Amino acid sequence: MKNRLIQNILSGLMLMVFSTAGMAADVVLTPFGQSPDAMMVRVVLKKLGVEGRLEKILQADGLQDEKVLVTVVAGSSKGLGEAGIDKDAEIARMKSVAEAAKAKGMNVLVMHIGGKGRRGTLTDLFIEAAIPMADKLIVVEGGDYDGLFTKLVEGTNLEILPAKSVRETSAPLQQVLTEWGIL
Amino acid sequence: MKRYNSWLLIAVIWLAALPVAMAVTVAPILQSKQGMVTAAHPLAAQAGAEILEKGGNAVDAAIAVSLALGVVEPYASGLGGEGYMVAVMADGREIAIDFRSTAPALATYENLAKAGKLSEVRYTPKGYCVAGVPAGIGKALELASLPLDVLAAPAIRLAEEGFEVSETFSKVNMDRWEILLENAPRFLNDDMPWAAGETFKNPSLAKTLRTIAEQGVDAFYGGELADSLDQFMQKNDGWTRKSDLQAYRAITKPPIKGSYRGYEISVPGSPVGGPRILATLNILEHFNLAMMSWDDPLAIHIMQEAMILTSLDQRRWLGDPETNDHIPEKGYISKDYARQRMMRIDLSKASDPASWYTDRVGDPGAYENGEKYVDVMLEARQKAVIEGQTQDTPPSTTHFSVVDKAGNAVAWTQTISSFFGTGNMVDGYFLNNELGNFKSEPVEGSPINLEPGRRPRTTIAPLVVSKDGKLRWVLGSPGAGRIGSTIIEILVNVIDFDMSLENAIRAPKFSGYDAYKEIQLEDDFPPKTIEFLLELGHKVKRYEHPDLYFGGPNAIEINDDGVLTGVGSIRRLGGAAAPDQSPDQSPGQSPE
Repeated sequence: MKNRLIQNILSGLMLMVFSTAGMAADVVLTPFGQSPDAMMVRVVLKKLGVEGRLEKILQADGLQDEKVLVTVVAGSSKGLGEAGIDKDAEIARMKSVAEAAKAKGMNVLVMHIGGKGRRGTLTDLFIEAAIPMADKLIVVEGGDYDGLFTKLVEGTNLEILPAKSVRETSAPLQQVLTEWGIL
Repeated sequence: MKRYNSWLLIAVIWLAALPVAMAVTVAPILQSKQGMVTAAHPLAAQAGAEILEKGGNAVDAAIAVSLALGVVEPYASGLGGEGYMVAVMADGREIAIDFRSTAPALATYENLAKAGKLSEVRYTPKGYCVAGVPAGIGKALELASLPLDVLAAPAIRLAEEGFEVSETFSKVNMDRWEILLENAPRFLNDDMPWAAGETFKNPSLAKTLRTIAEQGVDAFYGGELADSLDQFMQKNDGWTRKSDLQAYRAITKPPIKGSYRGYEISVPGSPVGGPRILATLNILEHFNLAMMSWDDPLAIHIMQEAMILTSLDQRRWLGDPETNDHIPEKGYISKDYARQRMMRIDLSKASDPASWYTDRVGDPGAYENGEKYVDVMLEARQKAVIEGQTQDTPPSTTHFSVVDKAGNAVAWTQTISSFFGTGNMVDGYFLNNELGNFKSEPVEGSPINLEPGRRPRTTIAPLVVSKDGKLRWVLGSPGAGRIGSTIIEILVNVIDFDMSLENAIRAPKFSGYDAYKEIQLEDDFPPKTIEFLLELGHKVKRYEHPDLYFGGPNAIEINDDGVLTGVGSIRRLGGAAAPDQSPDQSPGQSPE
């Protein structure tokens, strides 16, 4: 009897744990430009109780049963080199992943978290390719210093959800994930 | 050809026109007759200018800047780092202080074999070499006029009260975030990188600085701070022990001297990049670059090829003179050797990287005793030596320059190797990872084989340029493998192409180093220049302009009328600072 009680309690606890873990499978992250920024977003998600699956070179057929695709944009020559791909291949990869995600009914969240320091010719190329994929867009302060994001979202339904720092992306992330039924 | 002479000085402030009492002025570019400090962070430059205003001399100010940089740029230098300084004093004394780090006693190839590859220990406590910055400051104090507690005060204030995180700080923190999350999570802001605009404080470092200010730099090498590092190392499987710290010494020696078109240049000797600056300029002296322009592909080709030749020789022959039987430095910087080397430059085509280590390494040893090139070349064929390992070269390090009103000048470069060094933090400062600058495996005859007590070779090259005995420029740069090329190009820009200092620094830079098999360049050269370089057979890799990758020189120009122009690093958002008025007491006095 006592053992059964403990078993039930444990089962309940396991259920709670797995319901959190179930949420974890709802989000998949991938960098767009192969910078390490996506890993930072993963840590922010973890603090929100969301265990995102991070795959650096996610392919369209690598999507599982997630509900949200988060792609974090920032070009890194070093990262691209390590991944063994060039900028054109990276854009093609992300376009294909985003198309597959949409086809599966997933929402796509585009994030730029590096501020002004993570802008430049390479990153801008990826930003321009990323905006048309986005259902939601989070940009950390300084990232839109020259109005590039503002210009790219003009005439679309997309709005820029701002954050002061990477740490403070938790607020718009929470808002978006709540809206999408993840939190 | 595109001209850089048309650049306007931005934010130039003429201080003589600003009668503000008891204050210093800070700007990206500054002019003053009261003394000048340029550093990679405006707050560090300000710390130095405050010391000048208190009556300190250039060395006093330099010590204050060194300590302050360790606070505001903890990723680039600090107490856990090393460096080299060159001082040219108004009374004619010229002093270089070698405070390069040394390999600890346990850093042997035998122990390395048990630990893995050199690259695998790079971001662990094993990657640390015994820091020299505190000892360097101790030596520099012999030229200073103010006590250490006064000089450390600005750094302690910055660490305790905090300061606004800059864009550069934030970017570098983001770039190294993964290593910091693993090795020093308490440095981060709730596990996240510090964002520009946030306030960063380092009370632990403030406490360490206070200990050093009160007890002297020996506290670092033998006191409670040494115990603390020893404990950290033992707990985390590192190789440095208190006995290594106790054995460490900074070395005072005269700088080595060279010349370029009538300018006298004082640089630090081996095992850093000073000799290569001189060797390259010796080759370039044979070409009439003044007839060309900064964006002339032929000028770029000649400079590139000259820099490759000198880097090949540096890699093969130069290292720590304290632990190598003989370093052929004299031959390497001899004018006659440069004549032989300049003959290797083919004006019509680029050299093939595949042949660099087999066919283009020279033999500077043949010129050690003032031999003439005709005799050497008639006697022996050029000796080819094979050695092909390249070193990873992160764009870290920091350089600052100081000139006081009396005409004392200090060029000071310090580093923790990679940004954030090993990523491990002890007592508020980061531990360098200089061990990575040794050979990963022993190579017979190599001057940079790993050996306890040996100083690794690096590319830093703080320097002072004079003409007819008068100071002209004080400069240096971070930028790892690009340090030499950036400094050489700045000197050619001001001397041959008659650019202002600001334009010389701002102009696009290109690499010239054997670790890179292509010309890496900032992408603001005219398309035809690039096209012609490709035609010559160079491979070209483009970077944005300006890009921190090419360094962050902080330089000062000294004009005949006593006006000092300070240019803070354009690529790193640095600053220049100067006292607003002449100090009450006469600056520049230092004990004999």
